Amino acid sequence: MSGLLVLVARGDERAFSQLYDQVAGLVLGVARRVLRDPAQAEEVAQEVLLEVWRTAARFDPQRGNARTWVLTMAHRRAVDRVRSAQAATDRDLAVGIREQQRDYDVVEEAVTNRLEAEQVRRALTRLTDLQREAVHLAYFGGYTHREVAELLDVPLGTVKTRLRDGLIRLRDAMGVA
Amino acid sequence: MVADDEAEVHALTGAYALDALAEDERVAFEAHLAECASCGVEVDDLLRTAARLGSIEEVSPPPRMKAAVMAAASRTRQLAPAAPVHGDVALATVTDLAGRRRRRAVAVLGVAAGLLAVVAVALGAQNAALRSDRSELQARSVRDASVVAEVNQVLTAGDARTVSAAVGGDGHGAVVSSAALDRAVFVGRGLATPPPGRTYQLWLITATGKASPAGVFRPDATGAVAASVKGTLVGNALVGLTVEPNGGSLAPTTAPILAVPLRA
Repeated sequence: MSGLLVLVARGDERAFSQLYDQVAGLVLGVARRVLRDPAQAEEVAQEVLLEVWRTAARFDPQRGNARTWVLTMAHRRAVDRVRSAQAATDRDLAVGIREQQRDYDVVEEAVTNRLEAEQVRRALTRLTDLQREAVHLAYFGGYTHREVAELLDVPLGTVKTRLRDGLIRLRDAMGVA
Repeated sequence: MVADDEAEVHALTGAYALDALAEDERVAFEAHLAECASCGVEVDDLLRTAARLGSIEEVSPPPRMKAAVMAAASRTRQLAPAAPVHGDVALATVTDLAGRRRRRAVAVLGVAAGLLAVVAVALGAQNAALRSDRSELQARSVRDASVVAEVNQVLTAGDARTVSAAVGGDGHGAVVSSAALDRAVFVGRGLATPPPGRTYQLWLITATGKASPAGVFRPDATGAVAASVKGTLVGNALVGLTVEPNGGSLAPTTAPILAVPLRA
């Protein structure tokens, strides 16, 4: 995928079409999880993919992984949108906490089962419940660490530690180099 | 205590990688990243890890989405590879809030409509003279070269429109927008430093007065800033500016100190 992105940076529309086929579903998946509303998710996904086209030159194949680059952008955009579109107090806080239980049972419509997704799910089981809860609220809920601290009624420092330790465990469980 | 602050800042790597920092915290942390190699390495790992969280669920995109994206791409200009900072780069002596004189590269942005903006750019982590003094970290508005390039894109867009206004006593602000890029930037100079615990916040405001948060910033030591106005211009009529508590607010808590129409 890095190779495709390098070609895209030079204006290669066919390469972009191929890149789209590889990442659009992931981008839309992230947007859907964070935004919930399918229409907004589609809007954000489109914006992200267009940004990938527009800013492909910023991707440095020596320093990074193309999929990380795209999904990082996707997550940032989705979180920006959810924060500006709704007051945090309007967001259903209870749903946010319930959401993170969901991963292990309910299968959303149009989900593609992938070996990779299974690996991530399995790795998530290696986190403590508290770490997994904090990571889910932050990543999929789009909450800031302060909001997570408020939701869980714990000190901010505790949330910072859970997020960091949780991600480190996830990294180690998945063997991310 | 300095030691506590430093330990605290390193602890933010997880929150940063999960996009769980508020805007001004993110800017401050990115400034720290420019100076801390070990955090940089950890953040790279954690970003890669967080991106894999994003791969848990894939959703098949509707065909119309690809058609829309490909059509938009064919009419969207791309960033040139390895975009250098546009305009002249001059070394200037900048006195920061603690009274220390530093040599910093300042990018002088060429601006449509003749408005000159001076933005202090911290170029590269190699400047060992930059100590992460807490007040300096919060006081300076750090923009890396790619953000400057992004701002410059709007400034030099074919359909760029500039609307400017006075801000406070000696301040000047301008909103430069491009409908084609669906993006606006706010360029200011002579902006007063916000009081402790407060920050500037931009808003996108509809014709009926509904305001959406569009980013927070602090001007640099010279009172200058160039910041992206975050959000789509579609459906919005004005860009507003208020002073809010750190981290920004969900809705303006005071009357705007600047409210500029997107279309003059």
